[in-house]
Amino acid sequence: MSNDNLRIIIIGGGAGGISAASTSKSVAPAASVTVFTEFEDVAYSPCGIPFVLGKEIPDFERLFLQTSEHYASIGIDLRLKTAVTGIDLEGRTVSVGADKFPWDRLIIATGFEYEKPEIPGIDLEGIHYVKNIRRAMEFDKILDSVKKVVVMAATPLGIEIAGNLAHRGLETHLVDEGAWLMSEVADPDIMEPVQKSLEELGTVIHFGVKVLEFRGAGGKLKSVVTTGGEIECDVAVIATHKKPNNRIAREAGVEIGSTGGIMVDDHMRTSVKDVYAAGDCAEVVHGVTDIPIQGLSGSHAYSQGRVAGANAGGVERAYDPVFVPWGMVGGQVQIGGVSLGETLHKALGIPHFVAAATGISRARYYPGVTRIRVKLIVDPETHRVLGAQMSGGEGIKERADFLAFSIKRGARIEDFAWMENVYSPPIGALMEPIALAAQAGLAELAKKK
Amino acid sequence: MAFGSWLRKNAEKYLMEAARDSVAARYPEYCAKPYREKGLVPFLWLNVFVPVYLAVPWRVRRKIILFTSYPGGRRPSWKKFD
Ligand SMILES: Cc1cc2nc3c(=O)[nH]c(=O)nc-3n(C[C@H](O)[C@H](O)[C@H](O)COP(=O)(O)OP(=O)(O)OC[C@H]3O[C@@H](n4cnc5c(N)ncnc54)[C@H](O)[C@@H]3O)c2cc1C
Repeated sequence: MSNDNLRIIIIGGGAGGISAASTSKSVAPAASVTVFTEFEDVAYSPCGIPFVLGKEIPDFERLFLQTSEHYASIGIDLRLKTAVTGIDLEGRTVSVGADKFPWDRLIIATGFEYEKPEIPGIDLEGIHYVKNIRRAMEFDKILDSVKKVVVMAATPLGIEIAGNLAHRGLETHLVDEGAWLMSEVADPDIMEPVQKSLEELGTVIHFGVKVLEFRGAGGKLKSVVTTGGEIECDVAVIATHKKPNNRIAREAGVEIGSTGGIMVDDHMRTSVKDVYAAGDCAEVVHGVTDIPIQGLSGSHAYSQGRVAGANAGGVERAYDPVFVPWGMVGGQVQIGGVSLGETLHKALGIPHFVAAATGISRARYYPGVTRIRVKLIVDPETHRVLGAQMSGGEGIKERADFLAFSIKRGARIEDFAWMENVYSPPIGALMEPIALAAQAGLAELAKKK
Repeated sequence: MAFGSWLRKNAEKYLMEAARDSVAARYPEYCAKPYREKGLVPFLWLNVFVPVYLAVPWRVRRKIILFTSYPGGRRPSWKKFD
């Protein structure tokens, strides 16, 4: 088909949808590109919301990366506040109520929803989810008049919200069933400095408790009842898992994988010809285990959108399996990693050993130096590094990116043990913490021989 | 819920519980007591499923996971890294 008459429709205006639209338009300038989003805005960073709520960032306006006018000026037809109600795969249309819009290529980028807990009182006024920027602006105003907050679930978002609300000066309670923070993805030795930092900020952490009920009066939340007692509060934030928003794709007959995400190949093609999916609504392959996974990050959604957009526009592009470098700030501490940590390797039963050490971020005499803990998860047979987790005061993101790049290329523990590194007192210590961890792992191995 | 999704959901939950207990035993100084459901169903998953699952060699287990992850075991085309 000539690109001149190509009609590309994108459902979703988040990182996945907007990057798909921009890429389609740039590779196929003559194509008509239409984006439908049920939200009021596009091109803002939801990732910045917790920090505005915490008053680290002064206002929401800074989170907008582009204006709607910009997209109009490059020829993208943006339909804001327009929910697509159905997809007809035979007739090649999407419906918005009674109206039908035809497509030649369709990109589904409907993102994620929070898992809504089935707990009595979950619909009370005062219970919030943090995602849409307009709702976050309203929540911000509400926070001006409240004193006590309960955050449910010590997920990455739960930790960011709890730390920020404590920073704002609110009495903040973080409630979680686990034995340590982010126990579904991170290891306890990595999370311990975050726990300390959150507590220093004033967050009260309730480990090992299950929420039984949101209790209210007159339809308004008054307290959260847990297996560990009742916590009085004015508002609660639900920070449960992200799950793929796959409803319209599923109803249309697009194949859904076992994670609940839309199944795609490395070109972001779904089971239906000319239909693509990108971002949190899709499942992709994990580079180390080959197992499909879902619910990654904004940067993954953005890259997947670009691949889907290019392919839909007629320019072939492939997306690699993911090794998932990640990083965040919990309290005042940076944490991050690549692929899976020790706990997840144990859960899957993947043979491994742990190589760990604590180093420093700058020369030990340089002001601002902080400790950095690095943990490498290593295949005992091949010595290939399978994953890593880290915590420290600085430089965690860069190490996570570097480790992901190296692990993807098959780096072994020996490669890291004898790696070259930058030494400059204000930015790097003589001994790189990654190398120290690898050397410690090799020393342990040598002892066992 | 399709069988694959049901199996994955429950297997993940109880394998994670068992793994977290084992990691907590390694780093007791950093861990509190987790919440655990009681009863026959959790008991069976933890004491029958988890040990059987972990007794199967990883290479075989990975094949089973992949087979149950895709309808009919048909993996979409993706680059392989191993
Ligand atoms: C508070 C917060 C903090 C975060 N922090 C980080 C971070 O620090 N780093 C990071 O990498 N990631 C972070 N994330 C995660 C990241 O934002 C998501 O992974 C990313 O938004 C996924 O993008 P997406 O385009 O797939 O989906 P979404 O952003 O969920 O967008 C989905 C889009 O689909 C639209 N839509 C859905 N259904 C329909 C329909 N039927 N009709 C029309 N439109 C529809 C919605 O309007 C929306 O525009 C954070 C997320 C949140 C909420």
